[in-house]
Amino acid sequence: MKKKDLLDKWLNGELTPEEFEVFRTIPEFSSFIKIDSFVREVELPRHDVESGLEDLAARKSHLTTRQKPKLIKLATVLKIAAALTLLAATYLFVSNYEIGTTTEFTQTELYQLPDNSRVFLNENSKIELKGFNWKNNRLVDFHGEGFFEVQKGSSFTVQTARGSVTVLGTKFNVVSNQFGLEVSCYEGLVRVDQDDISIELPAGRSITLEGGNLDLDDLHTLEPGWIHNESRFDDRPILQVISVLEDEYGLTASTENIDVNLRFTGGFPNDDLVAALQAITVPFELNYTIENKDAITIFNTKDSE
Amino acid sequence: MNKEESSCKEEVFNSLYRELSPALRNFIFFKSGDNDQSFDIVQEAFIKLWNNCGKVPPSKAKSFLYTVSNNLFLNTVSHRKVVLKFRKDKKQELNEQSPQFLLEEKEFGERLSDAISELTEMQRTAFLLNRVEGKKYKEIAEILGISEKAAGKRIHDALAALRTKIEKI
Repeated sequence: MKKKDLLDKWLNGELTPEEFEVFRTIPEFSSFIKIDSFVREVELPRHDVESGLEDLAARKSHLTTRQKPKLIKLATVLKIAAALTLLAATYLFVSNYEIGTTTEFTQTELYQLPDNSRVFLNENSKIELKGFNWKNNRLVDFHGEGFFEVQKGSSFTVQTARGSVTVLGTKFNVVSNQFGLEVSCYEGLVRVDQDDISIELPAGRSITLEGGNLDLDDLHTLEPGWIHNESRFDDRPILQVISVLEDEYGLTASTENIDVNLRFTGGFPNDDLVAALQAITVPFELNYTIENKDAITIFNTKDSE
Repeated sequence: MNKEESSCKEEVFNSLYRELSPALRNFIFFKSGDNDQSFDIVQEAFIKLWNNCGKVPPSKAKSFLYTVSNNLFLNTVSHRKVVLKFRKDKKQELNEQSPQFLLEEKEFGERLSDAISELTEMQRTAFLLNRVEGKKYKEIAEILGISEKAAGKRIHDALAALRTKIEKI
């Protein structure tokens, strides 16, 4: 066996007793043994496992406490806040966004609602409704005069300054102006609410709420007259009739010596001023003058008795 | 059926420390000859094991620790001369021997210490792992990431160099 192999075996502690006898004959043997005996006695660090573990535990806790605190950056908070604010603002804007239309003097308009219900607005009228999610809460704010054709569905409410009309059926006319609230139901059933009064109005009936008075009347037509460019009145005060005339023709009407208690039943066309004036004045034996296209005067020539 | 336990478990990790840290301490000590530094490196290496416990299962812990310790040692700024001391108290009975003999022994120890400090770091580590720790070529090769043949060569070279240096004087 070669010297190198013997040395390998010795270093690995694998020499057999016979091989050891050979190994001890090599010239370096005594040197190797002496070096080995010293090296085996080298002073090593005294490694105490338990105190090492304690030290380790201390280092680990130091490590975790140093890494643990999670900082939420101000920028992150601001980003979240900005996103929430934007969402809230969008919601407020969308949910309060109102659509609608307004008619001027002598102008009528057919307005289509999101559920395909239709409103014919007479002049000087205004309709407003929420643009968002309206179909689930059919409520319109209304002023003036309008004829409603309501599609079937959930309840439909017309809110006016003087009360509200809730649709239980289909076609009805609403007049809300300085004199009061007048509702005519042409088809189906509507409910009229004013303060604590609640009245269900069937087809062919109209209701007038004027001051503290309540009037129920029959209807004789299937649609309001103004739809056909006519203004119709049923036992209305003369001043209200004149006010409608002013609206329809866009002029100022002065009155002289007129009994304000006169009440008018009938109609006048909305496209013929002379005919309209005659329709109003003739029954009461009144006279009129047309000053210019913006002003008329209605007066009584007879001295009141 | 059970998968190998995670190094992240406190008991597993502590038993790894009990099993591996003494030899690891000596390994670093052979390289640096510095008592305190060898302790610090061992502790650092185990902290790194703890931080990577999810990736290093117990079976891989040993080679991980030796590699990390070696890197930590190489990263230390200054490498001092490694001066080892040999225990004399064991030779108690020999104290009654002649003073001449004692002097020779002391002198031999100093010469051997000098000679060891002049070995290359690679030779010294392999040699001391073999002679002091009693590790065989195979294990030394694993620890150092070299072949068994290369491990044997380093030890042979170390031994030859020591003998030459000691006998020359």
